[in-house]
Amino acid sequence: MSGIHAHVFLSHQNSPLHRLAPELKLVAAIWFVLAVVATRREALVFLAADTVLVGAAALAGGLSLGFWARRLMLGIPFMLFAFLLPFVGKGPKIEIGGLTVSEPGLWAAWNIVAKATLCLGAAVVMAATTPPTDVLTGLERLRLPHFASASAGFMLRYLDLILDDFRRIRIAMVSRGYRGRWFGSALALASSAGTVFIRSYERGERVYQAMVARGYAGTMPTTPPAPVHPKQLGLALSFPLLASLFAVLSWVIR
Amino acid sequence: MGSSLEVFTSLWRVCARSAQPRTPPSPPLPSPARGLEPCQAPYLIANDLQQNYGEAVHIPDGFINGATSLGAAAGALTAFSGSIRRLSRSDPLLPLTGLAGAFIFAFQMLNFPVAAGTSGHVVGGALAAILLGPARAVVTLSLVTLLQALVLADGGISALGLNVLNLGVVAPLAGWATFQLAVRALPRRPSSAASAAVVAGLVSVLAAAFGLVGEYALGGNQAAPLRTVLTAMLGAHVAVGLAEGLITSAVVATVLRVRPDLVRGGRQLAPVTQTSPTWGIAAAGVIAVVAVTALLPWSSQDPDVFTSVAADQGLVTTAPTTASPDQTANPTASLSATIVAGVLGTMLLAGFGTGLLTAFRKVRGK
Repeated sequence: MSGIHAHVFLSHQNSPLHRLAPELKLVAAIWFVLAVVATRREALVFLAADTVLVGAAALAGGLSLGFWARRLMLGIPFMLFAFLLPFVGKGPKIEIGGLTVSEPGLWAAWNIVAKATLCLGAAVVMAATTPPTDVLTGLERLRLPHFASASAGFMLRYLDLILDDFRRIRIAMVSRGYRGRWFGSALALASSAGTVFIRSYERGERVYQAMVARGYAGTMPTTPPAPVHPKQLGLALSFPLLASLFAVLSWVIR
Repeated sequence: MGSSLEVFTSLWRVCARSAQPRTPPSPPLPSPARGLEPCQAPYLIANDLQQNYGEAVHIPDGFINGATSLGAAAGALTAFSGSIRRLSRSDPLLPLTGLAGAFIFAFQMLNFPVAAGTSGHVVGGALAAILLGPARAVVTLSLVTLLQALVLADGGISALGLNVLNLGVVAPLAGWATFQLAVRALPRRPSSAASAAVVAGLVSVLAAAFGLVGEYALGGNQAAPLRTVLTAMLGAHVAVGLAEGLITSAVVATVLRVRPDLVRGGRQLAPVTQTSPTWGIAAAGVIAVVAVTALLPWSSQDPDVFTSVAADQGLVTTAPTTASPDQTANPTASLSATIVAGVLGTMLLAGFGTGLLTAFRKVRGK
């Protein structure tokens, strides 16, 4: 399979979500994320309802619980700043579990942690059910300029090759006895990066000549999109619609 | 904010890795390589892909409010479409953009050891601008950030505008402008490009960090005081920016040596025989000192974070201030004393950490 090591994020199954058109999944994921971010942070009931929605999407995508544990852990470094906020924040202080923390800081930290986790969940569901090349097809159908989507396609296609180039240079250096010390090895890596850049550039020139020789006239050929079935539309848009409803209700009901 | 918090995340990763049983690398390495520490062997790519994906830290959702995110998205979109239009008119060279983009994507994934026991990632904004020109660099880095958010679930989708603005627009353009200014200011020598690249790398990282602080000032939850965020962000990014500048300079120097025609920013430079970036390192050092000095009046004279937390939790009776009796009498002397103390302290800490790690490795027997 061409492209990056997508097995890290892609779950190779055949579920209703896997069969959805990619542009629908992109729109649904982005809309869901915007709805979650718009939800009032103190409305714990509606945020819990959003969690149920993400869980339902995960079930529809055939994703297991173990799948989730590892991927949600990836979000933890994002939230280091959030965990500091209750302590460095100003404003009225309250007691929680023996600690005195700032109340606005606590709410701000909750805002970041809850919404970032929910949106990470939505992003993981989308990434798990959509191969990277399909993500690009979806973006192209959503009117991303052709230049950008084709460049991104090349990026995904050749990323593996370039990482392999780096690995080959490292093996060659190490097998010739190179043992770098801390920052010196960073500079050696940077020198090998220069070599890899030149190789990538020349590969790009060769690819261009090969494409022109095969009739490239400025645009890549794409398959026309299949007509969208109303059931697909319903399945994809039900999640963000419900999330938007929860967001509106969280501001209306206090 | 591509490289912010990476010291924390890589420290976290190092601790987590030391707690786990070590898995052998997949290709069998010849014997000199046996016993290479993860941070000594800088390119553990094949095995680290799974862990690396979690480490390029971008702004998450919920951090900045909607209005600022929308404004940033509008700005990023304008710059992105402007660059694409300019490229489509002049020289599209589509596969080149794709391959160069793949290179930058891979470059952002590499582990660079930067201090004793920690490694980090570089954004590559200045590097892309120097090698590819400003328009292509903006398109490339914006696409890389977009792909990281959608395919690698790295960075919030609602924060995409902010991340693309900081990393895809501000970083390469700031690096490009600095490189052009520095190359014109420096003597017309082959080593000028490498020197200019050091400064460009530092300024691009500081510009991206400053962009984040600006966005926080406009639309962050104002729970943490702006001063704290400003000093923390810029202070951390001075060190990160220096590392990025040195790495950028090394890459540019290598490319200049072999194929100087590929460096779009250096078209006017003479062919290169030797590239030692001493002037650049000196200039970058000056910029770093100036940045730190400029931050010092902002850092509060009130009790710092730890003492105030300790005071809140009742662990100390009064919170001592950091102002000593000397400071009121002779502010300039105490300011320079603080700078010297800070630099010495950092060097001592780095040296201590390196010594500790070296001793640890000797004990484990390599």
